[in-house]
Amino acid sequence: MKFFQRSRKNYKTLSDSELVDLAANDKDAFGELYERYLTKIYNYVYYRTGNSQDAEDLTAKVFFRAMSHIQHYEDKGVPFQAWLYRIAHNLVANFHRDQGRRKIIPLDDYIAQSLKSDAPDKQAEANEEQELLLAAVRRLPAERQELILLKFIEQKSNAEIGDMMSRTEGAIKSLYHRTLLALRDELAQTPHTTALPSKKQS
Amino acid sequence: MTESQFQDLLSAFTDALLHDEHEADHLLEQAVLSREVAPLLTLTRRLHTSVRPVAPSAAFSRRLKADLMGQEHQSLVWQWRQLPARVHIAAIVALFGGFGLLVMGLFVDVTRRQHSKDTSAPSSISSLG
Repeated sequence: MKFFQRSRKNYKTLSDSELVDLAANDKDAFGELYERYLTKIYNYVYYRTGNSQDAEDLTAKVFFRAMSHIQHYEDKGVPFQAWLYRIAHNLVANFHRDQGRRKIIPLDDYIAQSLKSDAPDKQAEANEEQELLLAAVRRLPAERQELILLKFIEQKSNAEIGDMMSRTEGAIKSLYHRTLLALRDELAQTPHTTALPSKKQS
Repeated sequence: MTESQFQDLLSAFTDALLHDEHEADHLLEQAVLSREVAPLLTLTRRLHTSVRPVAPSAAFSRRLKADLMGQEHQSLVWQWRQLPARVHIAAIVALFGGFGLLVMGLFVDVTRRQHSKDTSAPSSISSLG
């Protein structure tokens, strides 16, 4: 009967830590982890690099690295998801270092898709505002970018983010406040941006 | 408003925005917004509308999974193993059923031949006699 139990359906009922235990010797278990986290990791990398091509390359590297190192992962209070994000974080950092600068690239396909609108002028203006905001987010220090992505894309609570970033809930609240202040100041320094008066200006 | 209260308001407002926008509006109505707070809440709304989940292309997802799983996963054995257990059971029942019918057919055929041989034998003997 063991043969029948290898159907993919069964993996869906397993927890992350059970899958991680199996994944060292069972590629299908890793396949399930891949299904669970592909979109999350892709989002993280996409918003930190700014284009889909780099996001795909780096996402692939994250999963290849995770697969080759999964036997070394131990659940010492750090969830598998946080471990995966750590790999993504390191690869994105290497990517930016190799680029020699923080790339400020428009979110190509995202924006291009939005431009196909019936109200081009208004939409183009909105897209420009959006692009400026996202570019400002990408100029923030890595941990602040991570916080924004975990909050707005993953919709994690402060406590959950704290677990993932090895900080207390209070520290995350404080970091979030400082992140918004930094982002506001960053936007205020950007030419052609509207609204959001900086503390320095007011 | 103390810094701690300010931080609590920002976090509560963001959580409300993400899960229930009416709750966010309710929070705004209740809060006394200083010049310091209002721009940050506006910024939070802009982040909420701009930082939206994106999805990798289906082609990329499939290709990467195939690369990760290795070529052996393209084989018939792997594809068979991905099928649900009920399909496995149905296939095996069909296989054994088919085999059973085949054996039964052969048995019936052999019995019939034997029977026809047995019935034709006495007449041939009597014709010899």
